[in-house]
Amino acid sequence: MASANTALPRPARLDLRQLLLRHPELGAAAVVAASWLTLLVLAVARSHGSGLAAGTGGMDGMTMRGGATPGSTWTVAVTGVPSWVLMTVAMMGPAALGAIQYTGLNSLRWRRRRAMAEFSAGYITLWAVFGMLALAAAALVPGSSRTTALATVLAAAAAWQLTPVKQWSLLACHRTVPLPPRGWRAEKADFGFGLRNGLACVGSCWCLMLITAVAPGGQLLWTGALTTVVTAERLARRPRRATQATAAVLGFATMATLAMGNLLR
Amino acid sequence: MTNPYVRVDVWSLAPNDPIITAYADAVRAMKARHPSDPTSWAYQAAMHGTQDGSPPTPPANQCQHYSWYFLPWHRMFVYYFEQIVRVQVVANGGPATWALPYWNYDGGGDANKLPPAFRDPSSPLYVKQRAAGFNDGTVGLPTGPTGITSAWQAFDLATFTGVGEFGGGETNSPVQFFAVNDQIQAGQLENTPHNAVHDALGGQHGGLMGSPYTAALDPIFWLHHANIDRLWLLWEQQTQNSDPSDQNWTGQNFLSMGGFFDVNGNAIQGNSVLTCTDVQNPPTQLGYTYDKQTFPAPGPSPVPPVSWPPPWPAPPQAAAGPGSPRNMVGATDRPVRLVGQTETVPVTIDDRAVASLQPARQQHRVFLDLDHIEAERNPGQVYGVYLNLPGQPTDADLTDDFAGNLSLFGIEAARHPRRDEHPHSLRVSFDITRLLDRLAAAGSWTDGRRLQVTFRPTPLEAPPWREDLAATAHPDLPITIGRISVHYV
Repeated sequence: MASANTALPRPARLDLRQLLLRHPELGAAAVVAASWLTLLVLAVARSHGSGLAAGTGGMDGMTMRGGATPGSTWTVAVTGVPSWVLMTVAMMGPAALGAIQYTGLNSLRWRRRRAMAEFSAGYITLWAVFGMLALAAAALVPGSSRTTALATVLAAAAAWQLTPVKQWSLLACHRTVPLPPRGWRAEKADFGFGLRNGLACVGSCWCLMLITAVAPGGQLLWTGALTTVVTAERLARRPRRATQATAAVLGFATMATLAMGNLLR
Repeated sequence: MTNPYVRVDVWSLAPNDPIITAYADAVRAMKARHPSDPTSWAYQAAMHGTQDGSPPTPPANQCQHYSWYFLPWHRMFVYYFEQIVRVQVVANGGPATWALPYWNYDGGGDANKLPPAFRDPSSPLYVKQRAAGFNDGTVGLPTGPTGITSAWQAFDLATFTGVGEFGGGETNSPVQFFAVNDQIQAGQLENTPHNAVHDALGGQHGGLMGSPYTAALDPIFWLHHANIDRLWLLWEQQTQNSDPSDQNWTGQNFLSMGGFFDVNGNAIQGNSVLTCTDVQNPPTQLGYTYDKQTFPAPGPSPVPPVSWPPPWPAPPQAAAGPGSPRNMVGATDRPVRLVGQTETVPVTIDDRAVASLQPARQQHRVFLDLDHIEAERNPGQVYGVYLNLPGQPTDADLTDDFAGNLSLFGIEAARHPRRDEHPHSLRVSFDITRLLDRLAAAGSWTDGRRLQVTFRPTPLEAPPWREDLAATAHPDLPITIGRISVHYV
């Protein structure tokens, strides 16, 4: 049976303008890709002992320093925030693209970029505040207890996956809000939507993100693995099943970490 | 495949016609079966929706709503149900060629009223839980261009896929109440007459038809869906089949939702599992057809596109194809609350947004979107949505200014899904291109900037109007519409 849809003329080449109109979030996707590239470059630089990684804090900026004094704890936390934000963009960005697209498509065309930027600012602000607290907490953990701390956080993350708050938060990540078209109401709503979405995502993924803060090494691998988990959970159409599967994986990772810790002892 | 089975208009049959009495006898027998039997009345209804927890989910709670799977899933559902009923009809000594009748409530005369056999309290087709007035025949479904029985708006559309289009929003896998960015998106045929008829029959006091969890327990449900199926078949003929060609639609089956059962209660499996493309042409693929080729009466006469008031772009230079990007050009900045009364809300078109579209000069469709529609449960009230309606409208004003119907059928299931799915709100969209042409031609939209959107509760017909029923037209269950927006495509 012939289909009228197939008979409609289709553009012979990719029309970038049309693509951007349908997917205003592509700019944000490029930022996410750039953040991944930066993380890769920093990881390579660090492995070669380059001053680039040291100068920017690199991935080390978000790992615990171990045994920090109370006075230096907040210094560690504050200086680690830029790296934390970089990692947050890479890790949470793919999961947030849907909300960014929603914000763009539901804004007047002349203020789409501003609306998406305001959403992103709200979203990242939440994660930056959480990052500061997480890094401060991680800095207080003695350096000799890194493996134990990682195993503890992995176990806590597995348990968190099964709580009603996690379920509620993951569902809240999917919620959108009506966005006014212009004026201060629009600015407030765009930023507020970012805060609200960020809060839901922190509620859903805070313990997963904590893993990257306490892991004694291999941050890039952890970030990659957790990005996959977070994005899969966000896109899954059966959220409960997805969180349960993640809990199982985290439980296995806990056991593996403890086993490796015993081997190294 | 020949067509031994012809679905006929229930209003063309006498109440004691063998087709109707055979259906009643079969329903009685199915109701007597154990609820765990897939061929029982309770089990079949639960496959559509249930809150009882039995049978388990899946196969319970698999109805497809607010997506492009709405029409094919319900076609399959009714097809297998009809086969189960037919076996029982034959076992009862009824006609071997029995086919499910359909209720064409838009057929004129009394056709908008519940068929008499379904009002007889002694019949298995009778259900007490219906909106007031339907079971005594004093109330009919609102008809005409601004009523809820006509599919004229859906038949004005040539595109299947998308919110506000004929068949519903796109998804890549079946979900009971599908959502894009948190909002479920019905097609126009699903919106009216499907949803609106559910609401009207369910009423405001918990009638079975008013909720997807109970609707299929009412024997009229199946005749309503046979009519929706008939309308889809007519639209397929009208458009030379503009069903989706995307593999995510054509190749989709519903096994992941639980699938269907044959006449012996065995799950349909293997090569017998139907995909959407297997049900696009019932006469040749499924062996049934309909007795009449009655298309919906057209809506208000179209006017030639006029020069739109500035600052709107010029009349179309080229057609916008399916999937063309939407551009929002105006919206409200605060929510609207409806409590059964008429409400009018202004929407201002943004000059700068329109100006940014000018270089393209190819937009030719305009949509009115109602998004983030929320309600704790379905108030059972349908609202007519109008643009620039005068304060004291005449019947002609109502017809000329009508944008579409707002129905909340399924809102409780969307907010609190029974399956492991995400909760979400509703988004409704109306193609108002022709309506704006009419308004511009009539001089009732001269500045091109400010539209007045009016929500008007659709009253139930009761000739003469019954005051005791008027009270039910003012439900105390509020609806919140997060935003009203205008989009250029």
